[in-house]
Amino acid sequence: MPSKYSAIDPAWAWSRYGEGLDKPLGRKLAAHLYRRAGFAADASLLATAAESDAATAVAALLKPQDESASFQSQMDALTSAILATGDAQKLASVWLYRMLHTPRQLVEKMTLFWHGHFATGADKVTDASLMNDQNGILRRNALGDFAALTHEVSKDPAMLIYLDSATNRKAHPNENFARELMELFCLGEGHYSEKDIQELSRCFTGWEVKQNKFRFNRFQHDGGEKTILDKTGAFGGEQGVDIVLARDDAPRFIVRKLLRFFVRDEPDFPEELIEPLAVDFREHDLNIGHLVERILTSELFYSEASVGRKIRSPVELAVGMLRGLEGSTDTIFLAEQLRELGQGLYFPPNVKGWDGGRAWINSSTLLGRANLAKRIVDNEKTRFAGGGLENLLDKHGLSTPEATVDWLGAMLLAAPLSEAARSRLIGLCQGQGPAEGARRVICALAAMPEFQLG
Amino acid sequence: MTRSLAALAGITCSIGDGKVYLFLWKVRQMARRSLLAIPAQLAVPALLAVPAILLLLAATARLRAAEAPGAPAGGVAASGAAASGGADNGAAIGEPAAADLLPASIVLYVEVKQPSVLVDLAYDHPLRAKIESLDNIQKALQGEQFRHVQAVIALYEAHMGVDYRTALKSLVAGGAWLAYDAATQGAISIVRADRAETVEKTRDFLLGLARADAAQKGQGPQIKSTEYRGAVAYEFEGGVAAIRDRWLILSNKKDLAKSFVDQLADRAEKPEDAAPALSSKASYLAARGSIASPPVAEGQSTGWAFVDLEAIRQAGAAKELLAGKAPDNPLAELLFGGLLGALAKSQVVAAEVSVSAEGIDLVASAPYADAIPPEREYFFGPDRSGVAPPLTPVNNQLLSIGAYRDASGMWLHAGDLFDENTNDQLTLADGQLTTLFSGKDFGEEILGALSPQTQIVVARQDFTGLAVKPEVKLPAFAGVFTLKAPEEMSDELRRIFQSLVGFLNVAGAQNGQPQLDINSERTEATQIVAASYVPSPDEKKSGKGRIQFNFSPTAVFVGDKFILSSTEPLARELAQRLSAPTPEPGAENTPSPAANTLAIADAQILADVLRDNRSQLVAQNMLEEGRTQEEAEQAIDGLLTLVGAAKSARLSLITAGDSLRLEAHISLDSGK
Repeated sequence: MPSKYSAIDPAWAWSRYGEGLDKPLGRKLAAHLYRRAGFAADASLLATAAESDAATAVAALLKPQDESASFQSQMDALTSAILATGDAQKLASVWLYRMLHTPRQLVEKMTLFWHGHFATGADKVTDASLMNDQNGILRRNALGDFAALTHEVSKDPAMLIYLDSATNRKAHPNENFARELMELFCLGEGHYSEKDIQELSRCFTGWEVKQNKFRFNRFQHDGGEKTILDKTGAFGGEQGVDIVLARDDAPRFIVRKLLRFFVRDEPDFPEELIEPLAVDFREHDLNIGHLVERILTSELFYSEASVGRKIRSPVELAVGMLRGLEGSTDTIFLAEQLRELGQGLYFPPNVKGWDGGRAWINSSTLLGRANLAKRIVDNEKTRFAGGGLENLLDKHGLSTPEATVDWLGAMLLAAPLSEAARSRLIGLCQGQGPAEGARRVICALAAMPEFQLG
Repeated sequence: MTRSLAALAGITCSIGDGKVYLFLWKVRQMARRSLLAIPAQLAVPALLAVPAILLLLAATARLRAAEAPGAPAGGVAASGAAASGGADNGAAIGEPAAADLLPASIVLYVEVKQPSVLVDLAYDHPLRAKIESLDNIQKALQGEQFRHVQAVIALYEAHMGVDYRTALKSLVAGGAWLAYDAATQGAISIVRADRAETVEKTRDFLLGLARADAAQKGQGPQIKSTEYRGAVAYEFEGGVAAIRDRWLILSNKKDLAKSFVDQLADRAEKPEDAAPALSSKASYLAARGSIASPPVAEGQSTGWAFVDLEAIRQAGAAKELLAGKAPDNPLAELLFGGLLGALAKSQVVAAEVSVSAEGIDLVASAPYADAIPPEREYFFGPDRSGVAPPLTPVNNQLLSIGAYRDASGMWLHAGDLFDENTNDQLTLADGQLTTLFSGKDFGEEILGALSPQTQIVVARQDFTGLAVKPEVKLPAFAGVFTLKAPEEMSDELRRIFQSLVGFLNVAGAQNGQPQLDINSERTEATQIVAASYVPSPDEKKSGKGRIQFNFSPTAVFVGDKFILSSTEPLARELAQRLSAPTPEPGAENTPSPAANTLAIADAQILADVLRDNRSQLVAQNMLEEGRTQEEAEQAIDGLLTLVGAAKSARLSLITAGDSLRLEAHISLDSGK
């Protein structure tokens, strides 16, 4: 089936949006940028971004004000409080708290991306501190060097335990990690052979986890010659990873996956659109930040082919709604709700991570997603602008049903409200107090198909 | 909104004094947006709930203070009930008490004798300020619902011409009662005011609110009034209110309110024809008699309550509570089995409370003349002879419980006490424990080696000086047991303890948990086996450890005492105190002669334990409440302040003759 993208000129697609025109993004595209590159912008952030051109707005996301020392120490305190309980399930609540409050939205969004990419589940790892350590690796390298990230993950105890590779003896090389490194982490299916897996797995012999730490057992390492992806030598594990990363398919694989994450779920991107970015990614030493910047400043990203054409994951849906409405809530409750909707943080369904896209939507999850928004709004611990919905309305001067509907619609939806929908929502406010009216509008917006799009 | 204002203004017209301006000012201040349209459904319960709240408060409160100024002298009613102690509230001489007027079919009766004094206490106690400063309370106080209540109160004050406290005290000056009637399945709330005018003005106020609400909704008056035997009754959706003289009666059943008014009228007109009332019922008299003894001395009582258990049983209600068992919960059985058994057999249960600024006293009694069934002898002892041991106090003691519980007897009678599923689990556990305890029968030989007199101690730990401190700081706990044959069992239990430590090490190693190191020492009088967790190099370096570092399991043998403790310091302290030449537990730690169970708790230590974990609590609060760190710290500090407002609590379960008696005292920080 011919792809719609086949008609797109790669030169145009990856050129900078509005380059040389000093063209402000405007409210709609600024909101689009924050929905994709983060979770959502609140009204103040949106106003600033709307006045900026794409390059400036993206630069602000790539190099935002650092998390303050006090924020960092708060996160450390929250993490150690949860780790002290040993409950991996509650660890998700700390991450959600961070997603809701961090000034570095893009870093958290990328950490979430890498969590789905290097998927590791606490149901098997069970040790909360190992899951937290892996989360630290993903965050530290989220916009850094993909090769360094892959090397770190390769020796991460949580990953090795998850892939049954906590012991790997030369007599019986464990093929799991070698297979996933090529299939899921770096190259994709069809870009290696079974023989490559067998040979690569020999490189990782002697890699073990002891006392929750990575250990190289030289006595169990197969020091013999191997041939992997046309390279031959007495390679060790690190060299094995480098050989995989050196393949041209590696940047293509990551570019394709990031385009799906940031630009559009489907249809798949043709090679001619992938290649220029893959080459650029390689030329910039697999620097993730550079690649992300290229994507987020591109004409394609701000085009009709991208805006409002991605299905939001449950985390994007919930955190986006809260961030957009300056909200906070019980994140332990939120983590449980997200897990019920299929996106339990630290609990991906399998090593492939979340499928994303249309897989988020079916008859039961659609209802669940609308109910999630309602449960968040109705939760007595949820606050908006530091208080009830009336605080939010007061803060933004929303004194009429019309103003409330327009403002909430703009903050929560990627697409404009139709006149009919707007009238219906205004009707919901009639005869209600302002807060109750706003609550009804939010719940009704959450039940609209447009709410599912990011 | 304009219509609402006009309607509300109608109420103020009847005030006819300068209060009208105050009223309008307060309404403006409190009623933002459309708040002026206060619905009567909210306003009426809000106002009437106040006596109910006071009654609830009275259920746990005691008044020693003098009567409130303006309230009638606390005389003794010259009724049959007065003789049984049922009407010593603010009634004038010759006036009946509610128990004299309620039908004999009442199964739950709560009487607050001097509510006006209780109002003063509720207003003036330093705890009030502490509670109000709590974050959640502050939030509630600023909430829309509370603002509605405040607005109604402001209206009431304006209408009555006095502040709410004074108005409320006047309204309840003659007493307050709550009751539930089995015959009509109705609840009734009764207050007796200082004078008829107070009741009438309150009635006018409530009617005004209702009319204002109806007018706002464009409806006609919905409250129908009827005169009946000297009373005026008002029917509204969901209930009936009636006033007669100083009485204000509110019930959800018309027949119940009617029977009360009938009794009032009969007593006034032809007392000889009055139907038998609650106060002449045998179960009521028995209940009243069962609590008519110290520690709540006559004249100090704030209120009392009784429940007719037999009537409830016959009605088939509260089946689970009155079943006499906790069929799936062995721990609940061990702690409360005797109480559950008594509730299942007793005809009535009665409780009397008294409250002062310094604390609360409660005594509850349930006549329990039935023979103790064999399966509950483990709880009461043969012929109810089981008594709690004197408690050995320790430093930083959070909780200490001394009790007579023959654990072996309970274990062996499990088949009579628990359901099938629980018994299956206990059988499985019995097999595993027998293996763990070196082939000794767990029920017969291990638990059977212990005397039923047992003490459990919980104490705050001192972590200073420890190289590795756990992030979550738990209190230490220990059991103090008496061995029936110490010379035979000491070595056996020591070996079993060592095996247990080995087992924990093997199980822990499989899960990557730290290992226990074991040490033994023996002196002439004492034998100590202590185990402590070995920190990892990382833990040594950071000084922070996992939750396991709260524990250093220790077994100590001193004379015939066997101490099993979660920590070595607590075990050593208990051993030292128990081996002192003449251990003097002191009066606080000595149970009364027939006490089956004695428990003492220290709220200050509890506050300290919580304070030890402040950062954990703050973190938890941030996540659970979605708060910022500053907000969470404020909330937790408020909670700690509130916990610290209580001082201590002492509870005794006493088998006194043919009744089971619960005595409790809670000391409060009175700010003195």
